[in-house]
Amino acid sequence: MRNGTSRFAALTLAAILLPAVAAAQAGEVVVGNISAMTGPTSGTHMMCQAGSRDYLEYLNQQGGIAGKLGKAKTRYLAYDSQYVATKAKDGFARLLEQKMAVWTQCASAHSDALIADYEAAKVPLVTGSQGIASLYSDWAYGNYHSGIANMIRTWIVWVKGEWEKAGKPGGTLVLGTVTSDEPYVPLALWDIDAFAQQQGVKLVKETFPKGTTDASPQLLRLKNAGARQIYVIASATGAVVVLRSARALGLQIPMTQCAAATLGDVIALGGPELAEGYQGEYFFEPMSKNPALGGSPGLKLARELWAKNHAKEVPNDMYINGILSGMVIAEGIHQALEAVPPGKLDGEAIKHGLDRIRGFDGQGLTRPISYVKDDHIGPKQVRYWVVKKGFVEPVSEWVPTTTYRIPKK
Amino acid sequence: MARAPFYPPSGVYADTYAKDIRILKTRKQRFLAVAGLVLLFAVPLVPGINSPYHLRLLIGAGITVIACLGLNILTGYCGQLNVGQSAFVMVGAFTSGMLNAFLGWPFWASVLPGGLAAAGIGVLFGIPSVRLKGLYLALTTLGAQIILTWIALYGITVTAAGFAVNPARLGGIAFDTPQKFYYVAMVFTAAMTFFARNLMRSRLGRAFIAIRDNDRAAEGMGIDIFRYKLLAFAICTFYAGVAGALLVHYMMWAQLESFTLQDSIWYLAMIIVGGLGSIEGTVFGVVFITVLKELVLVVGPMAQTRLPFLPIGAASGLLLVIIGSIAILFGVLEPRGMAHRWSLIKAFYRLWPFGY
Repeated sequence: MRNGTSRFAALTLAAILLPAVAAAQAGEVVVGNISAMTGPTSGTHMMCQAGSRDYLEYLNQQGGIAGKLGKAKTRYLAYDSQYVATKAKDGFARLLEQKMAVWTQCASAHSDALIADYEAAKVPLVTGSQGIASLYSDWAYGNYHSGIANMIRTWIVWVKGEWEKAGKPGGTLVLGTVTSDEPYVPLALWDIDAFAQQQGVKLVKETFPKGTTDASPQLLRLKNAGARQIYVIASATGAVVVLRSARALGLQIPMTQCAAATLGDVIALGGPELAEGYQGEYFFEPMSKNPALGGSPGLKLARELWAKNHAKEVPNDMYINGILSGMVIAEGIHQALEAVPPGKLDGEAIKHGLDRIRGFDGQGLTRPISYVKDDHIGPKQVRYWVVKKGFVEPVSEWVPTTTYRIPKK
Repeated sequence: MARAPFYPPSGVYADTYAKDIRILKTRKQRFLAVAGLVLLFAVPLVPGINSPYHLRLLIGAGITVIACLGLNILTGYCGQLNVGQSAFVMVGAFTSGMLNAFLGWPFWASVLPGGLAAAGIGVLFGIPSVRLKGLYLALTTLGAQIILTWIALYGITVTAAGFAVNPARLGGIAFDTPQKFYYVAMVFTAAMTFFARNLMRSRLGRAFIAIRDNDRAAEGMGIDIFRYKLLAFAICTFYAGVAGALLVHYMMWAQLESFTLQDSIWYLAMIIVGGLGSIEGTVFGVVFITVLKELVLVVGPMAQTRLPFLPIGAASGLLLVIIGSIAILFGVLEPRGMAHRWSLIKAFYRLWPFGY
């Protein structure tokens, strides 16, 4: 019995390890993923990873990525960074030894912490989650909005536009933010008062401690300040706390969730009834879109891939974020194959391929992406959605994002 | 916490005080120590294990050893619980990093200020130790973790956003690759390990141990408890600060996410598994936990790919459960840590075949 168990364990371990350590074959592009597969952020990161992995595997099953000079398949290798920068660096070194030619992640801090590594190694990064410094990197390619500081800026511009269309009711536009006490919040609110002032908007800011179960005092103060709309910068858990508190107060002020969490997460966590009427912003078409409204070919494919690979699990919007990264990587390889044969597909060749991407919309999942010199930001457009009966529906057209960049140092 | 006595090989004895206080008492020990150091510094030249990945793991372990040595001096030797060590690593990291990035100080000039800044802050948070012990003191160090992180997040804009740090340089050599930085990390690790080892044999070290074993008795023997506890905090956090300074120059990037409460817990786990109140135990614990964690980080994603029937994220999560179980098993089966087991092995070897 004991021998049998040991043998089974050894065989399982061998089955896991052996195929992965095999060297990359000619014409095979190693795609690396370094993100938190364990720890508090793993839920989001794993969904992104599953999206890019499933999409690239789907292309492999279709025969690979075709270009003028041949076809290439991909090998997807991942490393669990636990969202620790030093571990991410270890992972990068490991994947580099396994001939990684392009990499992806959903951990904005890693995009910055590894800059020196991927620039020196000439391995391009394709990501749906960027930090601050990487927005300046020639080797980072986003399929994201224009950086964390533009989430609230874009929202202010959008709400102001709607308010102006409505004839500027109230004379002065007062907006509120309620934020949980999380590490990225100062970056999201970076120099925001100056921007609000420039827009002629009065911005009232409130913060609630992470882990609290009641945000009523903060919401009451925003109500008393005359806020017409409230922007929520928090995880899905924080959003549910805010929504519960708003319901307890009978608050009718429209609220919008920042891109740190998706409406799909809020629906899953708080339930459709609590989330009803809650707004959110997406730079892609979400999985939680009401099926009755149809969807782009990209969304249809994403739903098929989800059903095939994760049928027993609840669909998650961040899966689309990963699918988009996979699509951008595949498009970069496709473009690279216009210039080099499959055997010569290294990081530099794929970077040249990514540089050639123009008007790529991921089968309608996002707005056209074009990468030009000094601008690898991505679609630079978001759309606002609202929860209705457990699904999300668009509440705006695509809106251009602001393009503020936090200084690099 | 008590260490196994030193059993010298038959015929080896000290006939002078100088011989008695030697760290390396026999010729064989001296030879092994020198050979060990040579091997340690030869690693970047050995094919097969000199890959950037392996060197990065060793550099990371070396830096962690420094942080954990400080923690073991405070917690293992002096008996003062500290659950905020990574916050002090952060103070050293940001001090050294900012001196380098914004004032142009070279790495070599910014390490000491990094250590001293951390020690200064550490002493401040050590003041409550005069009146607090055990879990109550742990709460104040937990407070240090929260307060210092809050200051770095909301009080200083550059630390919230992260910033690039220049690599260490010596003459024309930039230590900007794992192959080069390995030597910097190992010089610091070896020197600070030796310093810690020596310190614990000194009057200071004996005072720390006396305070740990019975602080009232120690005070009765004339040991100034307040002074020595603060000294322990200063030394512990100085080590943390130096580790932080090394870390940011190794990463060439400083960011808040590298210094979390979770890291502080890992540091504690390392010294508990290795052996509280033991220098070599610190090294064992760091190496052991590092290897275990690496297994999770490497095998987890592989398992995720190869065992598709598992739900998303389950494979990595299960491996963490295994690590937790191993830590519990250590607590139950070898509460005195790996260092104690090592001492028993050494004693068995020295006394064999008369180990009764």
